Formats: sequence, structure tokens, C-alpha cells
Amino acid sequence: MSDVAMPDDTARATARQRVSATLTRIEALRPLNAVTAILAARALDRADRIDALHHAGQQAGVLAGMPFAAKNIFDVAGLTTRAGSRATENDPPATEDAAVIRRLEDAGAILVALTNMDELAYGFTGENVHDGDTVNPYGGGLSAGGSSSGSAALVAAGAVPFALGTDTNGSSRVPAALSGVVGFKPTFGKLSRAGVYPFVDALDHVGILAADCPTATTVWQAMTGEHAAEGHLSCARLDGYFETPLHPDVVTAVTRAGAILKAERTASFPLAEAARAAAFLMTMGQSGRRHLAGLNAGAQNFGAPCRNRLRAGALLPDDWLAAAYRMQALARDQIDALLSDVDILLAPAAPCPAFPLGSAELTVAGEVLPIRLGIGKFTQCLTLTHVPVAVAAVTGPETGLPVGVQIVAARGREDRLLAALATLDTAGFRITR
Amino acid sequence: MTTYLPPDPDLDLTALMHMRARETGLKWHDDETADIILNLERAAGFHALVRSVLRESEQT
Repeated sequence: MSDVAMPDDTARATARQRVSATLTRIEALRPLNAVTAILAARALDRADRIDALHHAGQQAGVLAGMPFAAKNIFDVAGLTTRAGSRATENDPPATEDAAVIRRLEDAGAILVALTNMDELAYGFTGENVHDGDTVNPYGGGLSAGGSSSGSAALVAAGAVPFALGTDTNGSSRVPAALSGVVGFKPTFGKLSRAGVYPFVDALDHVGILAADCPTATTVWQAMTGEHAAEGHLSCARLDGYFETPLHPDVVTAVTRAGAILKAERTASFPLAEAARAAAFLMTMGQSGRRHLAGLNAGAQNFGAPCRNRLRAGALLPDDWLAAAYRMQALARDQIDALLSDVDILLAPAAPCPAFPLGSAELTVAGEVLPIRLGIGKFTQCLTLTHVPVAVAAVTGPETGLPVGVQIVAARGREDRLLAALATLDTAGFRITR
Repeated sequence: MTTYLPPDPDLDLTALMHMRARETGLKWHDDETADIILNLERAAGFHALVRSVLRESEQT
């Protein structure tokens, strides 16, 4: 784990001092390959304006001077939005910042860097043939998870308190679990996707990766004005599909989270496996259709792992996608029914801790798990239903690596996620940095 | 890990690929055909699962 620390006296530091210290830390963390662009001039200019407001006795926002990073899938005025691909390099520069970046900067936060990702957000490993692979701060050539790999790694290494990611099938939640940060995927449509390079229209969400529960809560409050729910929350653990295969560290984490949140019963989501299959088909089909013209015009601009997935997606028959949409409706009904009976559901975020970069498969609890197909099996099925999900991470006792637990609430009830995260944090269910 | 049903045995993925290529205008080099078929095979397995569950659901 990196020993790069936050400033000792963050509260009293000027915005310029905080941004300067952050830029220095990001430089020191180059070996992680988490960053694809450092926005030093823009960030320092913004910091000076915030410091000027403070000197004039004016409010600069609840996030005043807080540095953050964003996956390079978000528009930044004056830059071409790369989305981790060479296929985008001739696109015109963005004319304005993505809506969520504007919202955060309106609250005083300062964008300092853009982060590495799986090409076009199509992957769970943080491997990228154009920009190189993101390395997990826990070292050993481990995957940080993906596709929001750089955002998770940068937060986990202590460079920034939070970062923006996206989450289509688990692309914020998987890296949150594998890198050991808090992940937050709100209800579908709750955070604007204006200025976010599209992947799968029916499933794309903006995600937040934060160093800890208080930071995640502060950022969410700044973006939405919403607070944590009060009072007791009923909780159940998802069973069946969500119970295998699981590394022992993940079993320990889910059990411990269940004990803290008093999950006295289990709940079943029988359509989970079919929901995951439908999400797979929608992802493949929609993204393939989107990039069909680009594939014909310049297939060499797409990395090999991504290129033929997109081609196959473009070839999927329309009726396969129609079936996936019908499944989405059924799965939503089923999860809605579950969440009308209980406030919070718990599930593992990923089947295992971080794995070596370049792995095609690994054995988990005696079962061979193909990385590409398997690592998102617990997140992908939930994405389809558009419910909000948070990830709380904790250190696994066997490996010493982070593992994550998903906290699931009904659509629009992010307040319950914040409350559950706070309960876990208070009980010591967190990564100690 | 068996997480999806095998594709319908009557489904000829190569024929499907070429038919859809004609419909969409998608092009590729011959040496990439096997990888595209592999990806289609995975999708066909997931489609088989979705179709099976939908049929069950519609019968109940």
C-alpha cells in the first residue's frame, strides 16, 4: 500500500496548497499508471479563485478546495474525451465540462486529473492496450478492478479524497472492492450523464469512489442535498446466486457486515442469473451497434480485447436484445418486491480479492472463474434493475487485500445507503489507511 | 462455472454471423472470425438462458 498521506493540516491549508500537494502526490504515484492527464494549470487557477473568495470572506462551497479526479470518460472543456480509446482521438474537444464536474466545482471541489480506464468502459480489470494497465496500490502487479480503475487506485493510494467513475455493469463497484475504497452507484438517472461518453444507454450510471464513508457522504450531500436516513433499517442477505463462488475473505466480509447491520434473514432474487445474462446482452448489443461505423472505418483504433466484443455485439440479432429488455422488466419487478419488504440487501461485490493483471481465470473456492465473465457477476445483475448500490470495503483476514460488500436499496433511497455505510463505518468496517 | 445455458444446438452461429454481417455491413479480417464466433457463442449462451426463463415466466 502506498505510504503517500494526506496533508497533516488539510483544514487550514489554502486551496492552492492542497492542490499543489495533490499534484506532487500524483507525480509520486506514476508507477500506478492511474492517471492519463494532469490538469495542473486549470486546478491551480481554480484554487486561486477559491482562496480569493475565502480572503474576501465569501463562501466557496461545502467542498471548497477539495481535489478530485475523474475517469477520462467525462468531458472536460478544451480536451477530447478519450474514454480510454484511440477510436476517440480525432473527436473534437469538449466545449464544456460534464454536468457532474460542473456540479462538484460549483460546490468548491477542484478537478486535478483524469484517470485511466478499460477501453470504452468495456472491462472489469483496468487493463488498457493504449494507455497501459492501472496497478492496484496494494501492489504485486494486481488489478485495481475496472473499468474505473484509475479513479479507484488514485483514491486508494491517498492522492485524492474522491474521484468520479462510471458504472454500467459494476465499473465503480468492482474497483471499489478490489482497491479498498467506498463505491457509490446511485439510482439510474439520478446523476446527470450529460458530457459522459456513452457506453450502454440503458445501463450507464455516474459513480463515486471515495476514500471513506464521511467523504462519500459529504460528496453526495454536496451533489444532491440529501442526507442519511434516520432510524432502524431492516436488512437481509441475498442468498442463492450470491453465495458462490466466494473467496473465504469475501465470505468473512459479508458475514461481518450482516452481523453489524443485523441481517437476521436471507432474501432471494431468483432472476439474478438471468438478469446478469440480460445485462451482458444489452451491453454487447448496444455498444456494438454504437461503434459499428467506427469499426468499419478504423478497426485498428480499437484494442484487440475490445474490438471483437464490439463486432459480435453489432451482430447480435434484434430479438435477442428485445428478450433482454423483457428480462429487465421482470428483474426490476422482482427486486422492487424484495425491497418493499426490507430496507437494505447485502451481497458480495466481487467473488474474490484483487488478482494479478493479465489473468484470464482464477480458482475461487475450488471453482474456475473466468475473469471477464465472472468478476462482475454480482454487480451486473443488480445494474439491470437500476437500484442504488454502495460498496463498503474491508481488509480480508486471509490475504490482507481489500474485499467489498454491496449494500442495495430501493430506487431513490440513497439515504438508506448512507445510513448503512455510516453504521458499518462506526463499527470499524472500513479500510484503515 | 456454469452461468449460462449452452446455445441452442440448432443455432448455426457461423450462418448467423454472415447473415447479420450482410444486414449491418460490418466487415473484419478472416483471421478474426474465430474470436468473433467465440464472443457470439457466449452471447448465445446468455440468450438461451434469458429465453428459457422468459418462457417459464410466460407459462406461469
